[in-house]
Amino acid sequence: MTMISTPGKSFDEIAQETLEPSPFSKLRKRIFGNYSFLAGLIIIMAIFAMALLAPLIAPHNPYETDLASRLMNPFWHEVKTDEEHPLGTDKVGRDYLSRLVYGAQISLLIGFSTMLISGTIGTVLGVAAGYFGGRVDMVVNFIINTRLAMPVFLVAMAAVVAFGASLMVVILVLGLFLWDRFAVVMRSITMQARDLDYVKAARAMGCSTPYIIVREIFPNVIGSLTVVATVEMANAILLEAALSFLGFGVQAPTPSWGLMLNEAREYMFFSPWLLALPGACLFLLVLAINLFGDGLRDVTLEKGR
Amino acid sequence: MKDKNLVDSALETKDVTCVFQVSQGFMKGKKPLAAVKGVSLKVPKGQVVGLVGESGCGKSTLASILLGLQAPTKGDVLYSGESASGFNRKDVARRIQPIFQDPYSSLNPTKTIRSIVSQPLRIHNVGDPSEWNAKVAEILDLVGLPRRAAGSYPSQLSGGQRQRVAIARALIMRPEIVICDEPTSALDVSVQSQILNLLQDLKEELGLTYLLISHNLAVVEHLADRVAVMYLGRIVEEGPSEDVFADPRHPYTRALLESVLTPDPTLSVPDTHLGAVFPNPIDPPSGCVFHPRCADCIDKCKTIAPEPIQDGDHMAECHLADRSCQ
Repeated sequence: MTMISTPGKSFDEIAQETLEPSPFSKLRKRIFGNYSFLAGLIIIMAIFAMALLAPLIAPHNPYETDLASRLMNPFWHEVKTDEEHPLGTDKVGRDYLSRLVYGAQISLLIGFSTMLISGTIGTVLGVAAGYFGGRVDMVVNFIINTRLAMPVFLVAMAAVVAFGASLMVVILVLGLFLWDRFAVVMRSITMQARDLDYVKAARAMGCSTPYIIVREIFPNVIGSLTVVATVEMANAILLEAALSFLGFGVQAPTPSWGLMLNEAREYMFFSPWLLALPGACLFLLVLAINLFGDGLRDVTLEKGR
Repeated sequence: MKDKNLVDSALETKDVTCVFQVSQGFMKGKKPLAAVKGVSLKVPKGQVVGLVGESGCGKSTLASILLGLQAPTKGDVLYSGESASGFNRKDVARRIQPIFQDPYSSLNPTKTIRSIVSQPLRIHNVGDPSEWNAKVAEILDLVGLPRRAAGSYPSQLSGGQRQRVAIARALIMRPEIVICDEPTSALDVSVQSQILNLLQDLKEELGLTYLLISHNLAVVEHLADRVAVMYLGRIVEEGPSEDVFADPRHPYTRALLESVLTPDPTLSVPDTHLGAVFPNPIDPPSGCVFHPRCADCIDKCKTIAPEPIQDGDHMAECHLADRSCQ
């Protein structure tokens, strides 16, 4: 407790040097050392910007048909190209680039809304089960098992048949079905956090249970939560594409990448780029989200903290 | 020997019992497990009472009951003579605070030291943010941390520093009683004495009362005014610490004292005669619960549970203690 004074340096400066680097500077270091995280982040940002600025980027109205210039080839072909349509047109003459750009909106919308709905349901169930244990845990486990016993895809198709196909129905069905992983992960890490002494200390100082869950436990599980969220978002985007491809998802003429794959099916051998382009977009987005989620785990879940 | 009834007790338990229902497995029903059985303990104001016993004897359950985290199945806890039955959690929290064993898990890693230490003030709505900062600075000085530490995170501090933060958090509301649950056993040996001296200084300065839970008999002997020895949910011996250490009445206390390792390399590991078997608390032994492990066991011990035998200020729960004082 004695302060040794070194000439030219205040006590605070010495203290600053002797303390470890702050968690934020360590975090910055980890972010910029993690290339897959950075790559994923950049691609997601690019697609996100594309979706947001779609009306500015897209050269044409994605719904505008022009039968005179249908099935135009993209720019790398030598014949039947059109400078107006750099990525060509589909079977009714809609600009393919514009449809791809607008398709990003649908995919991201589905991904985010599904993640929000399922994340909320799963987190509430999982944290409740993990924190309270006992009967609550038993009930939640039963709900999780019930959910796992239901095939998402079949239920989604049945729901679409029952309620009619629309973006809203797809989002709701996926949101109400993809929460199982959230619940399982949240449950187990809340259980671990619950038994730590800082939770006991908070209870001993008179904190209420909601306060403990929200202010003490939640900040410590949010890292894992975001990782699960990215995985589930990619999952939802792929499921939407699959549903749309089968005709149970978003309906024509909405520009959805899955629906574009479906519409391009019949031209698979003569105009393969009609399939390849939306497929590549989907692949890129899902890959980026997974890279991002993977990197996020390495960045946030610091070892030995 | 001074009479303990003359000193006001800061903390008192009256016949506290805590029974858990333990599931025996699927479709087998539940069996009661008495973690704490009729414990009556007095912690006199301004003194340190050491609570000693091996793992699983109910020390931590007793601590949880005293902290108001666990309701006793039976019995009453009194804080400065007031019964806890009418108290809510915050009333209890203002009177008694814990210091935990492991400073690595007792501090929330996502919070700054300032926010950890000022948390009790926020929870109890004491003062405003500027006052909180002043109080945090004051208490950090008191526990010997640089004020600059207020802005850092637990991961930036050493074990000893973290334990000082935990002490600061416990003391910021100025409770009367502090329960120290193995306050030094997770720390480096070199830091242990610093923390113990800090605890002792703070006790003098703030007039605190400690209940010191520890495996480490040297720590208890150093700090405690009185010692209580716990075995299988009962307090089997209780008395002034010089007395208990000099003249242990219960064979379990004797075994514990014999088990202390000495730095003398010529001596081998001490033999405690206890054997390795800690009895199953769901199915405790008949008579005196200690008899299967007792070196001095007589026939009476196997059938009749001993009554507490008071000799002045020194209590022991053993048939043999009775004879030795006659």
